Amino acid sequence: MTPHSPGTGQINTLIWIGFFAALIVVLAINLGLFGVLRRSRGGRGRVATQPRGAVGLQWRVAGVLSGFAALLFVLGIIFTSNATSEPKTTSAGLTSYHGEKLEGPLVIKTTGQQWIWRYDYPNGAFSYYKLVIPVHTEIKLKLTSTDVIHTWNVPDLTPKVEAVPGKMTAVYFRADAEGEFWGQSSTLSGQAYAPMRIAVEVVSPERFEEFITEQQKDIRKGNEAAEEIESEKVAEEKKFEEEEAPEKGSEEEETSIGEGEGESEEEGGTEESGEGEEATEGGESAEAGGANAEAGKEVFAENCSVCHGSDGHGGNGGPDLTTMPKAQEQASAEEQVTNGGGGMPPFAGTLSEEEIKNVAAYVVEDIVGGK
Amino acid sequence: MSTAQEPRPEIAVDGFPKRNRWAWMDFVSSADHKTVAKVLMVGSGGFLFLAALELLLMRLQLAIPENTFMEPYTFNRVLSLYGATSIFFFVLPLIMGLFLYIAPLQVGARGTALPRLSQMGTMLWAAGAVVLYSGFLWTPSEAGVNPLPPLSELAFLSNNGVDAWITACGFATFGFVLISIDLATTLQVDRAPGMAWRRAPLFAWAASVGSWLMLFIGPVLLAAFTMLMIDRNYDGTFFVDGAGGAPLLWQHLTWIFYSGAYMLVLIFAFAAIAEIFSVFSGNEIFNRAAVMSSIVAIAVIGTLAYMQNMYTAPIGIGWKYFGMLMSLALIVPVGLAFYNLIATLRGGALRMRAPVLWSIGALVMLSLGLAAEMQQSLVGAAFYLKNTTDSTAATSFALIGGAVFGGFAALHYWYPKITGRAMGEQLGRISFVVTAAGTLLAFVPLALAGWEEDQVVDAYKFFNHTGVNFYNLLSSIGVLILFVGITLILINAVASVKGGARAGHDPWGGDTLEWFTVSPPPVHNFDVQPDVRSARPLRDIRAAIAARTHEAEQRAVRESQPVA
Repeated sequence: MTPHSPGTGQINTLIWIGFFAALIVVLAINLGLFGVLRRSRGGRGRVATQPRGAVGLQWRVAGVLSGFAALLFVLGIIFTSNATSEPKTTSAGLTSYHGEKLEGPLVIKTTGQQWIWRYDYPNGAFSYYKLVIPVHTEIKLKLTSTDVIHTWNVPDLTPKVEAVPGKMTAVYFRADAEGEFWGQSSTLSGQAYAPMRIAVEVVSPERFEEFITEQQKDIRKGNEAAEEIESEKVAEEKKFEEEEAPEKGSEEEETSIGEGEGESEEEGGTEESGEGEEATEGGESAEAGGANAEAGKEVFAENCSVCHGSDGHGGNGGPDLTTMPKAQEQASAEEQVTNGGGGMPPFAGTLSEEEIKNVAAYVVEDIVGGK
Repeated sequence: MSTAQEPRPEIAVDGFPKRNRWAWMDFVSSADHKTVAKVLMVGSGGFLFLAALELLLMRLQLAIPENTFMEPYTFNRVLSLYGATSIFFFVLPLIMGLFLYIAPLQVGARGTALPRLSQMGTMLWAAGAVVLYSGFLWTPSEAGVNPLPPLSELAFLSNNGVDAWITACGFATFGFVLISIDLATTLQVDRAPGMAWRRAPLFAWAASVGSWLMLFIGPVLLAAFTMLMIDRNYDGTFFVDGAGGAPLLWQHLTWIFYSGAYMLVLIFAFAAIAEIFSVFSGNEIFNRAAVMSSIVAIAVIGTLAYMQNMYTAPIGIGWKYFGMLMSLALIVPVGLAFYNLIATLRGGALRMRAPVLWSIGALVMLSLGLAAEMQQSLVGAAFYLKNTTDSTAATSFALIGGAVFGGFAALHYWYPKITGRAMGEQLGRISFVVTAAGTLLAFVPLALAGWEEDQVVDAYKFFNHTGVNFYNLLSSIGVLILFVGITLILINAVASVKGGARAGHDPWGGDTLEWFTVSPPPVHNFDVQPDVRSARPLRDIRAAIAARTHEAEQRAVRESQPVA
């Protein structure tokens, strides 16, 4: 570890104090042991002549040990309380946020979930995986979890803290250098625990403001796109209901659609009841998206392969896509990418509507379809 | 209900009536403390092999970066299995088994006070082992060494793996509690005439303290297991947040048990080493009163230090300082134990036999492990070191030092009493060197990887370019060597049952009463219960016999002189 915040500097010092204390202990025990062993080997008719030990000697040894323990205890408290104290924002840090003067720390709600971290910045912006923070600024992370216990662990910047569901834990720190820092969750949280890594990018206050603005714009765009899809769906549904005769059962509806449309419909048609309309939509997108899958490949490589693996067969935390029911058809794949769920973050804010369509087409046709 | 029975005429037979049963039926159905303890020890030897094998499998996966030898869920299953096997099915049964076999003999008891409890406990333990390993038939737990809720809740691991894990470890723990009741009672009421606690052998004292400790910590773990069982199967909410439950409760309860079990390993190892050093150097235990009080202090303070494991959990900083205070207070009794054990050797005439070698190895490994634990017990240092492989290394050094090295020091020492034959000395030395080299090579690189590069525990892979490739390769090679060493020990133990040199009833010139009876001891242990007048009763008996022999010789010489 290379400390880049006042708190971790204190932690590093305490680790070294602990190391030298441990070194003294190991040396004292082993030098004593082997020194005595060298001088008390038996053989050649040697008879044991044990020196008598006074009780006073025990008290002296206990006294030395107590003093040693007390010293460590005091040092431990001093450095721990230094490490957990709030480091104030300096003049080079972020002093105002979105035109408002920043009093106290910049509060970022940090949520652990299987198997990615989500960061909610003030003013509604959020990001996944990578935390972006301004340099020289006091940050307060409010840690919690939505599922199991995860441990927040970026050794260069902050102490290690567990994010426990139902509890809100605060960590204060201040990054003193710009750059990228890495960390890794350190409590077993399930299958994709090992690749559940953390990236922290420390940027200048100006760049941080830009980043937040960009995020907000993207999120707005994503929400609009999601609404559009939703409204299209509703319209589609209405049309569908008007066209079909009311006395037909849902079972028959599905089969009729399955027969009526092309081959790409087969899987959609056999889905659970009530998804007939999605199958229609899926068919359209797939038809329109012959070239889209090509574009989707790039999107996949940049956004999805982190978890699902470069070939989509899982491995880095995400499941094998060929085994996921929602990845079997265009509409449900789009919905999953847009809204997330089941441990996967929503991509409505990060990807455009077209990109989502492309990547879904890529998943359905190339990965699941085995092209 | 009780009615006086008519006196029946005694049936006189020539010898005992022959029982028409297989030998192994006698072996598994006997309530004799020695047989029961043998079942525990033989079983724990087998599980040591399995634990070493599981550790080797995990290290194979972690030998190179981003390895795909194992699927993530397979790794987690092996990890969970390894945790349960090493703690509940190797360490604790080995310790309880040795306590149960040796301690009643050491205090001159003719059996244990409540033998059926020990028998039942061992059967429960065996049932637990069957449940744990039959988990292979469906799906083993994936929740790790300590299955923390909410991960171990039904919502996240919905198959029956965790249930099997809890049931297995719960059975085993319940078994240990029952054995502890028997042992604590026996040591309290069945000591030989004249054996006040100040004259009781140190190992019997440790057995007594350890039993009481298990009586406190065992039920705590059983409570936690029961709650998780209710959570999983009967819609309970003990560990579910937002419904009145608290995930942190599990950590409190289980860490009390795990810390207590850790302390049990320490007091077992210290006591066994004290006996061995004393016998092989010809000295008495240096200041035994101080060692006896240290053992009690370690049990009490060490268990109270359980919050040392929760420095990163959301509990008040005051509690963390309390955990640190207790952990550091442990320096005093542990330091005194080390000091007095080493001082026992001073001025002695030490015979360098295998038990002594293993004891020295145990002290070296314990010194490394406990010193590293001391570093980790500083709250601020744990903010970085906790849950890195550095902490794995610290715990492994202490537990392998206590349970494998201390355990096999004790086994080499008491093996002649248990089987009537000595374990192979040459193979004992070779296996010692191999095991020691393997342990050092396995865990020193891991400590460095944890400290320098923050490699995290329990992960099924590590990434390339994180600076830990070489450390992990070294560690995997070390575990391979450790595995070979452990296999050699076990081969030695198994082969010596039939092939060891006949040892006689007192091969080492022991000072305590277990060497007074024949090897292996008869069912009733002692034909005559000797009077105890000091802490080294057998030495007194030897001295008395020598004096009498001398006297008789003198008399014979006198009488053979021609009268002038």
